[in-house]
Formats: sequence, C-alpha cells, structure tokens
Amino acid sequence: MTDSNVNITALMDILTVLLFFLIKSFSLSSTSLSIPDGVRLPASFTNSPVVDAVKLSLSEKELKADHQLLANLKNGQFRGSDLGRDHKTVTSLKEYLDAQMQKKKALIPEGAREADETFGKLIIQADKELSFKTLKLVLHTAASSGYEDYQFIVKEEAE
Amino acid sequence: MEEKMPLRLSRKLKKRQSLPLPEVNIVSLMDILTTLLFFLVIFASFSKYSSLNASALVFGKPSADQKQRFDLRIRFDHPKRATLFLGPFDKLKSSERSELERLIGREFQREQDGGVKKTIYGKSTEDLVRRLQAVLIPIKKAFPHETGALVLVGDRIDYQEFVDLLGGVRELSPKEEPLTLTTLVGTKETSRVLFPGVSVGEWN
Repeated sequence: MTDSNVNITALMDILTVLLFFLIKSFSLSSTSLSIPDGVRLPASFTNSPVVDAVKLSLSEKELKADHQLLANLKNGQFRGSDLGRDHKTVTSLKEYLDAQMQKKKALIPEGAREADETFGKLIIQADKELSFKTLKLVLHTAASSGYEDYQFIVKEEAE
Repeated sequence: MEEKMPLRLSRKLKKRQSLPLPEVNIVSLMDILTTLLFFLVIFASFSKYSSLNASALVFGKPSADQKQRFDLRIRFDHPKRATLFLGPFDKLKSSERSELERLIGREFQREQDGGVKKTIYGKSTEDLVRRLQAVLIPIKKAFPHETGALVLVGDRIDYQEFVDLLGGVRELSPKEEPLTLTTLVGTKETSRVLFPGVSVGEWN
C-alpha cells in the first residue's frame, strides 16, 4: 500500500485569502445595528463610528425605541392623540426616555456623567423620506428628557 | 584499494546524513487560521453604517457676558435655499481673514446687529450644499479653531435633505481637496473638517 499525502497548499491559500478579505471588511463597532423594516436610511459620506445608546427607529408607520413599539404614525405624521398638550412632545416616547434616563442616572454618579460617552446620547434611525416636521417632534421630546446628543444613522454613499 | 577519507570529513558527512530532514508542523497554524476565520465569519459586519452627530439646541439664561462670540447660523427652509448668518466678529481672534472680508464685501448683506447674511440658492440640495461649502470654507480659514454652527431646519425639508446639509456643514466630502488652515499660532494643518459641533434647531 502506498502512503497517500494530502496536499493542503490550495486549502491554505484559500483560507489565507478569505482571512485577509474578512479582516479588511470587518468593522469593529461597539454597537450592532439592525435596521428595522420600513426604514430606508439616508446616504451620506460621513464615516463616524456609532456609540451604543438608546435606539430610536422612525418609519412612516411606526416609532420604536429599542425595538419596542411606542406609537403608530399615519403617512409619516404623528396622530394628535400621541402628542402632549404642547403638540410637540410625543407622550409615549417621553415616558420611555424619562425611564431610561432615570436608570442611567441611578447607575452613573453625577460627577461621572460628562465622562461617560453614552450618557444623553440617542441613536436615530429614520426613513429618508420623512419630513423634518415629524423628526423635530422626536428631537424635541428627546431633548426634554435630557437626551441632547444625536447620532443620525446613515448608510455609506454609493460612489 | 579503498581510499580512506580523512577522519574529520567522514565525521561531518555522517553528521549531515544523520540529521533529520526539517519538517514544518503547520497544525497549530491551521488551528489559528480556522478559528480566526470562524470568528470573523460569525461576527463580521458587512453593513456600512455610520453616524452623523449633532446636538440639540438648548436654551439657557442669556449670558451677562458682553464678549463677542462666534455665531454661525444656517437656516434651511427650502430644499434649494439656505441662508447663512454670521454674527459680528471684528473682536474675535482670527487668522486668514482677507478672503472672508473680500467675500463679505462682495456677496453679503449687513445686518442690524453688526453681523452679515447671505442667501444661497442651488439647483438641487447637492448643489446647494456645494455652494454653501464655498462660503463656509473662507469662514473656516478665518476661524480654524471654531467648530460650532447652528442649523435651523424648516418643516418642508425631508430627512435625506437634512442629512445632506448637516454632513456638508460638518465636513468636506472625501472627493474634495482638503483645506489648508493656518492656526492662530501660525502652524499649517490640512483638514476636511468644517464645523463638526453642529446644533440642530427648528425654523418655523
């Protein structure tokens, strides 16, 4: 019986090429983003990394926070019943963000909040065809709950 | 008659003959490569998402300080029109002002508070952003240390247009040549960054 030698040179080549390709494409991000259904992100050339924070997604039909449905929209507009007396605050969003802010404040002492890179930050995934009129209600509500730093998620612009 | 090799040479020959053939054991290398590969395949993110950062416009008490501050505001109330306001800046520290002053003399209107204003029109939002950046560049060259700007957005603007404008105010696109800025201490630096400290407010 003759000895059979397995030639693994080709396998090594494939593995090495795959590895280099994956290392080049790999993006190490502190947060994983899954884009909800119904949200078509706008495109931009910007290339800033995303910092983990409370995630809001706004489509023409729904407002969700961390995958939890907060309000339904009609044709990209909030219903009157979802807004507070000032017609600027989205009530369900305000309650959610206030609760999140309370938890955050309980965890982080006052002196350390400025140094914390996630404190007061929001991730906003909104549909590109929504009007600013709708978005501003979300921003106003967020600011009133203490969330003043926004990360608008964009997809890379096609060259 | 057999020729006898010198003793030293024969010992060397025996040494060479007795040394085993070198073998490279690549089992551990294969283990590492396979593990890395599985790790990257499972955790690799091929989605190219990034974030455009801005902050809320927060109103506080009016400052008692009468010092002049850098005040750059851009009102965006139509997809093809933006109005730029630059507050009084004669007392502010600046570096290369000449280009900005020539531009102001040619194209800006004076405001009552001592500031200046210019309305910019574009054929599309993309064109508008390019024209806006042509005005922002001399402002940045004059005030390279300033990073704040306020963007006031009208209800008629949609989110993609808002993102386009915000991105254009924050930085130049990778397709454009970077700026050469002269800092207040006289050093030169190259950068694509314009005004990354953008605050967003609404314009009604």
